[in-house]
Amino acid sequence: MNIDLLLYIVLFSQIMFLSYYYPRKMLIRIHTIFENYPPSEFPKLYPESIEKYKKSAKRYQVMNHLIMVLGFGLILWFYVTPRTGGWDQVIIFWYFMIQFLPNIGIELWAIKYHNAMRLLNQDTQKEAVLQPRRLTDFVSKNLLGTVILIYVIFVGFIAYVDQFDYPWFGGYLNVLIISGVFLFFGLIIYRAMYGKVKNPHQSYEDRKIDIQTLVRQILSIAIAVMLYAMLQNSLKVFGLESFKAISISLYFHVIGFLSMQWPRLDFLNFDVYKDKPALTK
Amino acid sequence: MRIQIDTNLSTPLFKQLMDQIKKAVMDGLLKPGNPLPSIRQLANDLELNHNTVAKAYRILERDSVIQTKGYRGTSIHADAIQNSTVNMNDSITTKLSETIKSLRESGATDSEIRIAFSNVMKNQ
Repeated sequence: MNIDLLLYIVLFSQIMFLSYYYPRKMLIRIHTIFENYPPSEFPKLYPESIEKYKKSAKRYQVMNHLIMVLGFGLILWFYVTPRTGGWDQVIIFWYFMIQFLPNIGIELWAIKYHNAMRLLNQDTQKEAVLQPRRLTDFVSKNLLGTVILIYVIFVGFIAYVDQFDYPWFGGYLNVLIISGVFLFFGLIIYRAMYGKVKNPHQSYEDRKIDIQTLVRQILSIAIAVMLYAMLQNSLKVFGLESFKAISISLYFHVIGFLSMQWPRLDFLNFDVYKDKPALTK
Repeated sequence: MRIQIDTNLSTPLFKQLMDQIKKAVMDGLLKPGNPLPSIRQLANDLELNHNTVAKAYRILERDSVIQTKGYRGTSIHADAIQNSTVNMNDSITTKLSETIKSLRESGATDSEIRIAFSNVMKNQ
């Protein structure tokens, strides 16, 4: 199959997945909460008017639609201009960054939302479990071991690739960058496990589910990052650079898929948002 | 094992923490060797100042109810059950009362005792 055609197909899939399917799933989740847990019964879930949240959800939807149109424009532009291959992956990378902007917006909105919740919180009773949290409480030792093993393989792979007169300090810059990213991931996990409680009403069990989801997502993404970096290096070494743009797009599919592993709503305890606090938070 | 503190109570927060840990030990909910959360974790979970939890842990460690072993963290002391029953406040009050009584018997006035007590505390 023609590489250009394959690129259009993969990019189209990226647009549909990250700017249509992903936000659609997110909006269904948000609207399910609005419908099943209304402010009249769960006032603590809405520190501000529900209309404001509905507007934010609408804004999220519109932003994603605009980004989807931008993506179609990008495919059209790819089609009408001759493909040299050099900048394609850079353009796809930045398009992905734009695609994730609405989700960063959601994260920022969540911070504001929890701050508003904390300001209105009247509960004087605070509860905690007298048990230390450990990383292995949230993920299996096998998954942790897999991440470490892949990291060792990754470093070994870069050292091997170095024999092929590879530019960029023989790829060691990749190791440095990825190690830096992992430090950042570690910080996120540490904050989730030991940091301040974001949601003052959330039950301890739900917090555990949240932490578990986050840790699993981050470790899965860490594996994906290393596998992708090895793939990119291999493509360069074996002179298959024309596939780089396609591979980066496929990689973003994986990142998107891993990012949408949200906990099921029916597993969460919404009773804590009712007027009378539940007996056990 | 859950712990609950109430910011509305007049009892100091560190005291509430200490009392509940001691009670959990006496009720057998916390056994010798059981690990306890770090100061940071507990303070953040209870939305308390780290110093409050640190103070509670420090006093419990002094009373040999808990023990801290470097990187292994904090756990329940081997003698925690018998040490949890000791009420330091009562013990101090009893000893001070006896000392004051004997000082009065030897002729010291309350004012002299207060000044001497204050000076000794300052010099400690």
